[in-house]
Amino acid sequence: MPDLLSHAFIAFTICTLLSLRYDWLSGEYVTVGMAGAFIPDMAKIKLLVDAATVEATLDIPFDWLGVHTLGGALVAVLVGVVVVNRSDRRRVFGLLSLGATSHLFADALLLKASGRSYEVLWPLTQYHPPTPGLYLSTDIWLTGVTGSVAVAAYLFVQYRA
Amino acid sequence: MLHSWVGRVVAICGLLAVLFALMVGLGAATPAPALGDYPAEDALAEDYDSHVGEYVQVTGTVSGTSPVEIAVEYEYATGGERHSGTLTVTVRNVDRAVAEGESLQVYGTLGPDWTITAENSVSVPATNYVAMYLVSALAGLWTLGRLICGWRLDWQTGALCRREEPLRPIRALLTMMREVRA
Repeated sequence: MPDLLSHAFIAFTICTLLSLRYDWLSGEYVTVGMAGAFIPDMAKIKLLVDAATVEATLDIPFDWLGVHTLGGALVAVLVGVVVVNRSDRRRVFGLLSLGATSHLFADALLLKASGRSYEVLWPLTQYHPPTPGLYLSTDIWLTGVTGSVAVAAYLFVQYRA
Repeated sequence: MLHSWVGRVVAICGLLAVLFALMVGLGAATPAPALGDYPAEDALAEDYDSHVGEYVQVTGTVSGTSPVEIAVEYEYATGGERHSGTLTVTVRNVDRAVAEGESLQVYGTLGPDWTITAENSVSVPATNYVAMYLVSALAGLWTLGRLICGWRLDWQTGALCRREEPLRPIRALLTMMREVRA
């Protein structure tokens, strides 16, 4: 899904529902989960500086999509963990990971002509898992659906409180 | 360690170096059809002949309909030089009606002289990318706003700390309006 709003809605929904179970998971921590959902799309820097430019400048191979994989996202999550204080580190690690994982997972379901997704588990393996092809990266209805679910989850949790 | 500006900055630089190494590693990976990693636009532009007879997956804009032709954009670098441009590829066996201007993703066998015999294709409607970027920016502002309201930077240690009293700009605004009206 190219529009980040869907990814932010998904992370918001998961974290909001988890707050029913974990009392410490307040709105501030829900935000951390949402921030995690932005991590894989840091690869969109390629719109400003494409990989070929980096390759030509440094004369080495390069691909921004490295951050849009398990390994790259994990390293980026650790940056977030370093930034907060020790008392918050475990929670921030969990929530950033949750947000980033939900993003990678949602993108692994995108429709592809070959029926194969992307190297989501890099650098463990270059394997492209089969994708069920549930939606296109340009489907707008998905933003509507994820948004409605997010609002419903928010209202449900408010009502329970 | 990791409780001061210096510690954090050193740790972040180290992590960014690892992230950079991962990106270099992915850039160095060559297509591996056995793993579902099929040659794509850039691989075809860089070395077409070595991929003839292989399965490829390519996305392009339909530039002709009989036969179906797609304009494929590519970019790659060799020897410290950046190459980019557009290739025109003829697609055979497309099992759907396609219209000029739409984006088509094709999976099939690469033939000689710039042809692909399609096994499957997916058409991607041309959407308004400006609107999509606006929506994404909205998501960024929403999350950034929440981050600023819930977290603050401790200038002593360079740490992001949770605010004990989260900022509530909307609630404050409503209260103010109510007071003004009263």
